[in-house]
Amino acid sequence: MKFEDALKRLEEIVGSLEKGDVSLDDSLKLYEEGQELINFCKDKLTKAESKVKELIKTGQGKFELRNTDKH
Amino acid sequence: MKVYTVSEITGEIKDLLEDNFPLIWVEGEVTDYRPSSSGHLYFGLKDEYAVIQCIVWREYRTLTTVEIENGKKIRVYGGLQVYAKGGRYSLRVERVYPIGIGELQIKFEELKRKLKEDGLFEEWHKKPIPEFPERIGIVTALDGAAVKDIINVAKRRYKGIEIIIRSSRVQGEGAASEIAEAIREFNEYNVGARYIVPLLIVGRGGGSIEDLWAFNEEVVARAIYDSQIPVISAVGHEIDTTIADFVADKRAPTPSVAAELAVKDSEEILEDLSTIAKRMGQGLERRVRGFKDKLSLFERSYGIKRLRDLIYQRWQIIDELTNRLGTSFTHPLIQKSSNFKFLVQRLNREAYQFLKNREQEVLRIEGELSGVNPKATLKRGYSICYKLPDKKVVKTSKILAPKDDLEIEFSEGKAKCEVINTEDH
Repeated sequence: MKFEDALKRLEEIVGSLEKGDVSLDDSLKLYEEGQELINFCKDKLTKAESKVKELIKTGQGKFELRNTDKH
Repeated sequence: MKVYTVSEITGEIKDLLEDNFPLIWVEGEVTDYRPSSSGHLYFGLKDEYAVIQCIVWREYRTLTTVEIENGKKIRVYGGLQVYAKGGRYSLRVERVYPIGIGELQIKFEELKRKLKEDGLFEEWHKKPIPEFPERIGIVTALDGAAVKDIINVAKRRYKGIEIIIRSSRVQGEGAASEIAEAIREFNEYNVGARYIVPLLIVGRGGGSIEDLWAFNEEVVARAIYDSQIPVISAVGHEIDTTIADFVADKRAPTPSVAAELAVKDSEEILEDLSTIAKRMGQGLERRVRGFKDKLSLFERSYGIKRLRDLIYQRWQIIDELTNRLGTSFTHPLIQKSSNFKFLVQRLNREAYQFLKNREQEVLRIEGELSGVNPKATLKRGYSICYKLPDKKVVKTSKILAPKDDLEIEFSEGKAKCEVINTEDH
């Protein structure tokens, strides 16, 4: 899942929980889904590791992402 | 002896002047500026010893880069023309520049004008910058200053950022077409790629106008315009503006700022996330409270009371019947009545169970939400510190001084204390 989509979904969830236009059961399900999304986002923000690569076009016109030792 | 008619000599003068000075640069001070109602501009250009009359035809007015006003020194570009009927010559001005403008600046202004006419700077064409890109592409020199700045800032803001560099020379002969090619390659890479590069930063560190010139070339401008990937331009320092900046979907004053525009700060997002969590909790709490109210309303409702009464009345009838008929279980009416008894019991049990279940659900949610309650936190061994006498919650030692009175609240009980000394974090 993309981070952007997760945040968008979270906004939707908060919106319907605050409006209160869903049943109690659905509220609970939304709440749980929201918690999972928050954990997912937190993990993405704190556990990921950065990478620096170089875009190289090979002789055959194909692309490669090569790890660079320069940075 | 050759005798000219007026027309003949005027014709000769016209040819002489117009052929020899078709396009020239002249510098001087504006005098007697007269914009006409027809849209043409008339003025004189003078120095210490002479004046020359100048005209800017209406269609050239938009090409003047400075406002013409009396006393202002300007440099104009145009050709001499002779007005035979009036016996006058004047300078037909095509461009007006501020004085002292260099050749590169003129080239810059010319290209800017041309690309603007071609619609390359139009707002509607600018693509939105993605909000949370997990990878970004950079077009710059692999060993330049810009790439280090961008990487440092991007990493600091988001630990998981993936940076893809397409190295390109950024100054000197051929740099412009290399930059353009690099932008095109990123676009080519995205075609059919599983993980596309959603955003590009194109730029370099600071330098002279000559050093930055590649970013003022048409090939670069066109490549940025044609790019399907949104482009942030990041050329030189704050004061440098290049053609690339006008075409780019967003202009960053420096490469570091480009990284800031491209990559959102994780700290900010984490804060947003905790706000979202809080709002979700509050939303659900309200929902549960609403349901609880409804539940108690339902229990007290006329319908339920009526049902209960009905059940009790039937019980009474059954009891009476049973008594009257004796204890013979074979009697069909007795059989019926015990069936009925069973049904009533079941109904009662189910109604009760339904209410019980709902109540338990409410209690469970309340328990979950109480994790947010600060007093529940106390139970886990934390305590709250208040500053006396106004009972303000202490979040930083900075508001404290020795001898201040404090009150500490534990899960069970409180204690009064005095500050001995403080240490800032």
